[in-house]
Amino acid sequence: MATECSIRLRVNGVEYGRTVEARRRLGDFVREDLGLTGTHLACEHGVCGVCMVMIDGTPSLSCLTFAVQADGCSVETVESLSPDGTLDVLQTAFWDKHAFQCGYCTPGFLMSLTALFRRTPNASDEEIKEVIDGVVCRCTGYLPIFEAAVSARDQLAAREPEMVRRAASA
Amino acid sequence: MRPAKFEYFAPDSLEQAAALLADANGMGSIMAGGQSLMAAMNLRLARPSRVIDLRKVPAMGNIEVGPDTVRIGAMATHASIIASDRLREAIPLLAMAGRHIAHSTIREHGTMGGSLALADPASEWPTVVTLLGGRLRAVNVRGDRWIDIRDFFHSFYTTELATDEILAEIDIPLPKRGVRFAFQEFSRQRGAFAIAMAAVSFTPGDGSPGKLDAVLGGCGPRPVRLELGTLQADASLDQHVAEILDRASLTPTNDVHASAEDRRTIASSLLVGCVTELLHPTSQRGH
Repeated sequence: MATECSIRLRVNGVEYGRTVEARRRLGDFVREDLGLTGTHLACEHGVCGVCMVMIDGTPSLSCLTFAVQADGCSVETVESLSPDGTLDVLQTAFWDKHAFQCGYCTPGFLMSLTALFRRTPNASDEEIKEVIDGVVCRCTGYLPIFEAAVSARDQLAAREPEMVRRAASA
Repeated sequence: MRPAKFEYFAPDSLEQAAALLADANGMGSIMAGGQSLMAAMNLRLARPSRVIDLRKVPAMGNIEVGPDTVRIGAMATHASIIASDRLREAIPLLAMAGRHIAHSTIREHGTMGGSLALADPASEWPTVVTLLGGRLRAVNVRGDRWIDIRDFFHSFYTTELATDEILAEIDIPLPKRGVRFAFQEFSRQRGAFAIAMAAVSFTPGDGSPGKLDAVLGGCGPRPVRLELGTLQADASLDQHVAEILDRASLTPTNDVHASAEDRRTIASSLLVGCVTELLHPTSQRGH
């Protein structure tokens, strides 16, 4: 029946098979069906950017994607950034620069910036601002978030030759 | 906020999609990138009984630059249109305007076909495709037909498409040699919904001053075409543009985002900015 669908997908490297209502949104699916509550839903109509996840590496709003549309895909949520509980470079920069207060929007910034740095490791300040512009934060006033992003970019860029070496030898 | 219940289908051919749509008796919705439809469903402004997702239909996102026209599959995303070097070379206006659409995450998913079929008059693709001219291929179970872009937009969110028709591709003629474009948009912040926008083309004349054509978005229930004729980018420009807009009797929306009068003023300033940019490429003006 088309109002309920069987789906198989990979979330943060783990395979899941579930039956979902067609109207189940991906954000609700990861939170309520899989218990991955790091993804936060806020505006629920695609303007705040907070519920960002990646689907097959493409940044996607989980409020504007049905779970059934991720059938057969690989989904990454904010939990994937620190699989062993250790903060990654970007998360550490957010911590160091006090780039959050209530923290509700933080997963959206972390996933948006992670997507940016993957594609453009040497992203310009302007490109960082454009990405940050896509996520709504009502507490921090954006400056600490921008500073954290710049700091993470500079650290990742300094590390890049090492990563390239590692990738080449792998 | 959860969408109402619906049946979901993701067929792998356009024929199948058309059959599923016909079978929904006017209560079906085609889903392209889903970035507007799903927002409307979350808010229950849209309650289709059946959603037919085109994401598995092969080749619907293709972009082909031919000798006379470009063919853009209805499922080509804003991001892929902006990123296509061949397309930018053929019709630079598309990338110029596309960069203004929402935020990068939305641009990865939203499509040109979805945006045209939605027909929000304050959005970029209806405005620029109206300026460029061209035709849209609509498909239903009985076959297909081409619709001229000038006949496509009826009113706010209302198009020439029948309830059983699917927008399949967009065919835009290549601009004549030497034609240049300008695009300006006003929104309260980058990525926010536009208050108004202007797209202008300049066709140089043989020994004559050349011709300016414009389309405004956000200034009425459908994109507004304006023939600007020949204008000089001098002290008289503001006055001339104001007169053209007066004659065009615009009917912009009056809402909390901007009054109709504000929208007229903004549109005028965007037009002046575009014309100045086209006639004096080095002294850009505007916001």
